[in-house]
Amino acid sequence: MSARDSILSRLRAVEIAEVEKPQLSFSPIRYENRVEHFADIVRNVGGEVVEMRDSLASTLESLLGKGAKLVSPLAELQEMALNPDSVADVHELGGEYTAVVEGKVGVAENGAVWVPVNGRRKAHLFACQHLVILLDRATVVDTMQDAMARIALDNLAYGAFVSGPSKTADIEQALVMGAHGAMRATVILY
Amino acid sequence: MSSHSIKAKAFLKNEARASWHDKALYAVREKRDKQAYALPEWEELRGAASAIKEHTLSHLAFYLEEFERNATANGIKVHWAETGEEMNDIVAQIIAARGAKHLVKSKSMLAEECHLAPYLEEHGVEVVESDLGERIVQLMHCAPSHIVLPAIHIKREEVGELFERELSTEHGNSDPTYLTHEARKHLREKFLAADVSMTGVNFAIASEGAFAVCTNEGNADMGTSFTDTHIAIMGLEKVIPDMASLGVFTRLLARSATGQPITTYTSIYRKPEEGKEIHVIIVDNGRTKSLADEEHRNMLKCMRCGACMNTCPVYRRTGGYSYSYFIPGPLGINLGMLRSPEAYGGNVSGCSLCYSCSGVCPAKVDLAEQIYKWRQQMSPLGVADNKKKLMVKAMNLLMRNPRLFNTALAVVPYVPRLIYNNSINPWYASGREMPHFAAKSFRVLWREGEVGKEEKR
Repeated sequence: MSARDSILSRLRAVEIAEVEKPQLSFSPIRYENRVEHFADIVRNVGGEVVEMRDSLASTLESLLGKGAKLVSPLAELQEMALNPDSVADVHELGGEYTAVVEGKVGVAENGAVWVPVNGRRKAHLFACQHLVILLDRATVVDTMQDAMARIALDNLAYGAFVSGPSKTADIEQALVMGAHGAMRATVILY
Repeated sequence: MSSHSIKAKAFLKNEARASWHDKALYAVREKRDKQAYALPEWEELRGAASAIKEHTLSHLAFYLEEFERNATANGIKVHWAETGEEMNDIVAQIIAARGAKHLVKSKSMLAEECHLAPYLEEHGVEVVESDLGERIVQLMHCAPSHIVLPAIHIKREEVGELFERELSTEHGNSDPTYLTHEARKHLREKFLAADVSMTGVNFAIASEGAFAVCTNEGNADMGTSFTDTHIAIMGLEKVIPDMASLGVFTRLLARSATGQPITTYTSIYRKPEEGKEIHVIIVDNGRTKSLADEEHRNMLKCMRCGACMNTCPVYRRTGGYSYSYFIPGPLGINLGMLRSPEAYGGNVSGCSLCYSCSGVCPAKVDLAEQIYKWRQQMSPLGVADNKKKLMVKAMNLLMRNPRLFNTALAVVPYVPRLIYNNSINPWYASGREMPHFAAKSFRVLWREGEVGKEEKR
């Protein structure tokens, strides 16, 4: 018998009282001002929140200065950014640059933004020095439970909730930003 | 003396460090409290997490099959392993089939449980731990002392010296920011040079055939982004029904673990990127046996947040290395006993039965209640301390025989204290004197009409 079949048959042989699937009937917290709470938490976890200006290009310029190296799958940035899906070898995404991506859901309770990756690559989300996420303020929900009800994995390969910059406290519990992923994380609200 | 007490003594020799360890972990516990109190529905969340786990455990074969079916449809290759050895073998085969030599991995307690890294190294594979704490302990050739904070027992100066030796950092510089960013550069090279990546699995979502991996550093995702082959290993209890369940668990995990509202990255892997492959290995290694154990099956509800360690007054004051099982604290005491009472029975006394661990567990695992149950089993399992057994027998004789008891009480004030106030007495501990016996027992005082006299006067 294969390991699979013997494990499954052993599991089926265990005498265990059936437990019903719980109905999640309690109501999660509701924030008075969801977007404001979201922005507060993003800042608490080491990120930044800015408002969109007239255009994305001008917002990025005010945030990064002129001529910043950009990597982005966004159609509107194709003239000024490298498309991560266009590089032949993913290792080209290992250097230093700012990645600009689109978030689909913001979560007020923890400052996380759901970033689905529809393209071929996700390396830019993590290897970048600075991660910039665009987010429609209307998508901000209260909690992860609300977020899960909104997101559809459909045919997605990968997606991540990202809350602030990469961090670690592995040396004497001292908090340091920029462990492996983004050293800086900015949410642009529109 | 138990194995725990003996090793704890060594840890406590460095008082300053032991005190730092205690305070650092209690600070994490306090951060956890702050997060918990900020949510009015905290207790309902814990109840939901517990109920979802109990439901899943009672349908484990069903959910594992559902996960396998959906993951396979997504293009993920699913493997099954009865034991740690089988898991290690499967990993080695996947690596060998690709002619790979460099594995970069994120933290996995299952890999530790199965001694994966030494096994792969024997087979000529370079294994690089990419979590900063794990990398530190790997370079130091020692084991993690905490499941979430692997290097909590190491001081910054030691990391500075280690990095100076291994990564050629500046002499005498032990600034955590400097050291972390030097490690970032060092590990960036490793990420870009790796040909296989490995992650654990925090939650396998049956309805989606997808799995979630949670990190703060982004190391798991860095590894999987730059390699074509991703191997994810999971204990079979890691499966959950659906995304709604994931919504509950992701609200609890980081709040309980480190007092953060969520980890920086909560990544959901659903199918391999174009031209790449994902392997998931579902591992039993004793878990079906634990499921069959009605008294202790609750251990399978654990989501490995480490909150029970941070709150444990014994763990905080004795450190991870005082426990003989690779997972310390209340969790490790229990998992060690499920693994082997003979090998790990010496940890059961490392508990004051304060029940704080049960109170903070986000999945409502009754850790302390189970330790109490194990204590009743020490003698039947043949792992009780013989000296303690003898003393309990003597106490039993004394307590059941009033005449003997009263005689002993009358005599004991005249017995020189030296006879029982010493380390031969198993209840004696250094720093804790045995109590003084009163010259007259309560019974004698009562008979002589002395009781209550003070108050009357």
